[in-house]
Amino acid sequence: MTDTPAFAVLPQEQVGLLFRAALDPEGKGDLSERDAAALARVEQNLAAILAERDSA
Amino acid sequence: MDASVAMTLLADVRLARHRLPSQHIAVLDALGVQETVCASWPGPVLDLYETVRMTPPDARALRDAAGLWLPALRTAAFNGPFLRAVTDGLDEASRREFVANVAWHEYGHALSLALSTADQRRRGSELLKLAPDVIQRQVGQHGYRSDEIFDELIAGVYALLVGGVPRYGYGLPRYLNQLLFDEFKEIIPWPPTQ
Repeated sequence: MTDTPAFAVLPQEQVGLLFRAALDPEGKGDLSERDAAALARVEQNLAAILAERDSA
Repeated sequence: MDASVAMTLLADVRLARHRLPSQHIAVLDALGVQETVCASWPGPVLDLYETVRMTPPDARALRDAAGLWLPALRTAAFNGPFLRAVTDGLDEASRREFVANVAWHEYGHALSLALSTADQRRRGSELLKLAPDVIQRQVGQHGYRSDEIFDELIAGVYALLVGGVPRYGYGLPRYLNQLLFDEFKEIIPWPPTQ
């Protein structure tokens, strides 16, 4: 192991894109209705979390 | 956050680990990798660092994290209150899938940091240009250092490949550049032997 950093952070901002990448890695936008609903819900929740956090 | 919610999320994380290829689970086991879902954040992570008398990560980066890979402690720590809030309203299967992708990202960090060389890690910016657009956006938006870019890239590709096995198998997925795939395989055994 070389040049090991002290930690590796996954910022909250990135989890929406992480989930989007998992559901639609080719970026085609042809998600199932269920996956599209889940992704929309996560992105909605994330936007609310970040807005509240950044206004604090 | 209710401790039972943290336990549910921890069960999701451990289920995600169980879904990894056996060879990778064996590497994580050999490295002594542990995972924790913190019912409050970031207090328990700061406590972990205090226990081993090490300087904790930057306070703001820590506060705004969904998860952390802590190499010195061989621990993936997950922000329980954030995971609960961001998965609010999802059904159980979707929540597990979401948490699994976050967990695979962190396990990808553990494998990358343990198995890559300094020379490989210097090529992060160069390799990122070969990544799928969604990973370029994910990694590019945070202002990572060059060596961090490599770790984020490998962690991102790892989560995608693991999650994509049911759809794409262990071959080269259509969305991934061959050179990036070859570089990835130099670090993390793919396809796994078990």
